[in-house]
Amino acid sequence: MATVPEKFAHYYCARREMSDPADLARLFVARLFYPADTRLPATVTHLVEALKHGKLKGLAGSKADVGKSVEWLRAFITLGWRTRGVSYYPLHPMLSRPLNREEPRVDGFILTLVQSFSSADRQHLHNALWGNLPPFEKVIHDLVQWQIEEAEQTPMAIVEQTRPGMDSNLTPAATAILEQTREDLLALAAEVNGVQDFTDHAGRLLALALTRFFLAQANVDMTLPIYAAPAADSHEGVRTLAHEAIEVHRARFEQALHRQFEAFFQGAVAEVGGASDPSSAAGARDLTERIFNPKANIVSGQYADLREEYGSLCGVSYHYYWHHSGARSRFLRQLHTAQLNLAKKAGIANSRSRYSTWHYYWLAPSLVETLLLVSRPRLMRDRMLVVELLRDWRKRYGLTMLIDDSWQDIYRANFPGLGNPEALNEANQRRFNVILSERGRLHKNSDDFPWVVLRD
Amino acid sequence: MHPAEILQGYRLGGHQATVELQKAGMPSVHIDFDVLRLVEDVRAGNVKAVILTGTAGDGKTYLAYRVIDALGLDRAAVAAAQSQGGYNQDGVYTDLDLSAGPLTSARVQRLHQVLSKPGRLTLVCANEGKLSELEERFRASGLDFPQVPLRINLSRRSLVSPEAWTKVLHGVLDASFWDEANLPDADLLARNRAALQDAQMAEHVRRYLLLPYLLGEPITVREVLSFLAYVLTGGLTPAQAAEVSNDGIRLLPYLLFNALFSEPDGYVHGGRAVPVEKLLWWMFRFDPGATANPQTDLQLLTRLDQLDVAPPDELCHYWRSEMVVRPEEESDTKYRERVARFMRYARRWYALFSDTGHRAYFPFRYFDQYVDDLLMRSENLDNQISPLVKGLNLLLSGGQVGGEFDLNLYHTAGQSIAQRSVVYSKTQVGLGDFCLVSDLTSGHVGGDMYVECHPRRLYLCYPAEADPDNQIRLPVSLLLYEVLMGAASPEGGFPATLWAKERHTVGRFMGALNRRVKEKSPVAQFVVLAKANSTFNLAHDSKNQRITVS
Repeated sequence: MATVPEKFAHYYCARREMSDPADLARLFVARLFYPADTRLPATVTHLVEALKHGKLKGLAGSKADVGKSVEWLRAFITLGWRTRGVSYYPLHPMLSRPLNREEPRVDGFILTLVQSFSSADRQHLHNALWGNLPPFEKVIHDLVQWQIEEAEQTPMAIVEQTRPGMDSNLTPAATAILEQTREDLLALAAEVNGVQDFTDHAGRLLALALTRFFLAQANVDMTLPIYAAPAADSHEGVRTLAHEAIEVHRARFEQALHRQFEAFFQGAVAEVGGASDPSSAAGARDLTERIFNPKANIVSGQYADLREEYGSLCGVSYHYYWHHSGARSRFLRQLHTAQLNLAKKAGIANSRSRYSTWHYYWLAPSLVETLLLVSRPRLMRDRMLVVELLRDWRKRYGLTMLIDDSWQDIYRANFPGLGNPEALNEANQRRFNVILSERGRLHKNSDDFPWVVLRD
Repeated sequence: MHPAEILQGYRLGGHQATVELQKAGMPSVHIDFDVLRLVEDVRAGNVKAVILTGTAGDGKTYLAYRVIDALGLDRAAVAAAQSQGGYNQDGVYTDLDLSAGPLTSARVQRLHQVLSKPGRLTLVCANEGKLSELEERFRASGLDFPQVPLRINLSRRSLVSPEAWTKVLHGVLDASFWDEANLPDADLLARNRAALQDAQMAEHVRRYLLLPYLLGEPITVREVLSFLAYVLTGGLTPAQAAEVSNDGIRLLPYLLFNALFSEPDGYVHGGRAVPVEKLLWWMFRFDPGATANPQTDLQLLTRLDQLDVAPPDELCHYWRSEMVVRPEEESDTKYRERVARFMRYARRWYALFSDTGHRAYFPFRYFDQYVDDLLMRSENLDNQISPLVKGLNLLLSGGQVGGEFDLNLYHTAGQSIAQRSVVYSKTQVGLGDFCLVSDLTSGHVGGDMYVECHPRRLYLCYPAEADPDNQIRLPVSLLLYEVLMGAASPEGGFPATLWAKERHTVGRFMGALNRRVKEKSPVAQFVVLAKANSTFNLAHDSKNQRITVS
């Protein structure tokens, strides 16, 4: 029997976001090539110990030089320190395995994604990344390889490919996102400059995919699209619209979570049997401990009052998990917040309030670079008009920078005070051109229709 | 009509700024661009299907009307037919603006039909965005052409190429309306016109205009005409011009050399909006008046009347009368303001009228060399690769690798904390593996034979002998060229600012190079510059499974 939090985790394939999006990519590599163990094999543990203490086989030289180089090397390959572990850039696939204990947060999503990769896809990605490493990353790869050569061979993951479309748990939109992400990751592997570069870009890409995945699984109405607005830091109208779009999506996501909570609650009650809305506090406490958490403190002394206020035990439970910051396992709020946090980490949302004048892009230049990298092999062009690129992003990722025909009516109906959409579009286009220009990605044959450079 | 009024009409927002606004019979500016050869080719029947593209102000409609006139068609009838989706009579089809009205399926089909089987002529004018949309619609509908229509992109015309610039100046300065006005020599407009007719001065102005062009800014005919109208008239009406012409000191700011570099009207400091007069804004950014050159400044300040060129009387008068402290002045504030103003005027004048002054105040040291390289054949550019590579070594190693003649492989990827350090492989890419080409060599567009083109940037390509599609290319812009050549020069040194754009392009190039170049030596050598005083070498012997640290 699955508890309600487990049902949510199963449905959304995630519990919350990882602290560093690059860790998503590292976890993706780990799950793509190795079994999803919770206990690490001895090979990995020994490797981590060797790195930690600087006792690496194959390193020769004076003690001082070796010590200095190992210290530097460790900093070079470290992706992030967390309270419960350190993760490394997977310059050797084995380096993806050390855990930082944030993995359970998104393991479901990564595993679902990994299952969409065929054996050929996996081989292709492996060859693209580790078969053509930049010279310096090859040094580190070899060094790691020498440490584990004599150890017991760790088996590669046996991943049975299942098309996401066959998973009844996934909505069609979510299935499409997984399929696109698979394609993008394969394209990215062939475009980037080494594994470190791949990890950073792929992390961003996965964060973007996951934030969209949440909305897709919640069946959130996207007629008001994701407004990736680079001019939000400088244009009041753009900033307000961007905030409103995020708030609307969050509110709709919250409504969906509420609906699903009720459904999962009823489902869990049906599985354990008995009444779904017991009138006695003892009965309610017993039920909630079984369908939520044995330590859940949902039913307090004033159960009758709570029940009267919120209508039923389901209402009381929802209120508890939604409003009580001290609730045992804040799964509902964490899920809800994760969607926004992932949007921030991907680079399509601001981390500041609408009243902030702090300079910040709403469309992070690094995300632009990532999307350009994955766009080139797919579009098979070296350069294209910026407006064409934006049309492609709108169609593929649901990201819009311009108020176009597809949602102009919605804009006019709901945001009449924000002014002429052309003014907002112009501000965004100008800002976007600056982003492209600062990365040497803009070619201006004319002012009105600049080109984006996909390949120098 | 006074030439100033005619010229002011060409300013952005003026009464002659677009072809549609110009009235028949009114005095106007005509520039004999190469593209006018199209008119003859159409009349002779050599060209039957043509698409004119470009941005607003590039002259699409102007050219289309010339073609229409040459075919003996009534302009008014053609313009009137535009509201019905285009003119279609006697074997001639014209669509003067593809953006006017929606691109319906019927319109797309009709355009495909007439472009596939043109009668006397099929002429379509469209901006690049709309044309791209049309082509996408053709592709989506599976419509292709038995013979590709001639496509002329007027945005590819470089108005600052020597040929086009000469034509622009001839069109503006030698128009018939000047003869009719018969302006006195002392008139502001006449003086500015005479100044610009001077070949040396015109070339210096062209060099300043080349800067925005080479830095990637498109320049349209409308923008050039508006800019010239401003700098010739100083933005004044004929009456205002007549009034200031008699007052030496008041006249000074409106003389060509000052008007050319003056701050654009309505520009708000700290504002985000780009000034309307784009070219004026660019000139203002390169204002020699704000550029210091101590030696030349001293000459201007102390020996203005003994320089290689004679200054205008007004400037001399200012120098003699205003550069002294007046007895009634209790502080030096006013005096300092007058000196600053004089230096601004004098530098601008000297930068335009004298080769010595131009060299002193022009903001790029390697500009001439860059332009020469752009126009040179690729085979003759091999000598330039060496300093560029040396500059790259210096740039990527933070100035620590200076003596190399081949390019080291620098590790540029990733964002870890160790990125503050420099890592490179001693595996080198030889100079002979690179080639240098200009952008016109690398991408030729069909209709370019009708327009005056000028290359914009160089490309350092690897490997030299590979097919262009399989080459790794480093776009070498004017800025990057300046950085690399400056670093590689005997004087050395980087400019104060390294542009993010250049860093990104160099990073992409080096990343691609890292993946392409294969290590040949059994032991690969690496250098890690970890911190200021912490450097170590790594020798990677993969066969013997050993990395030696030293």
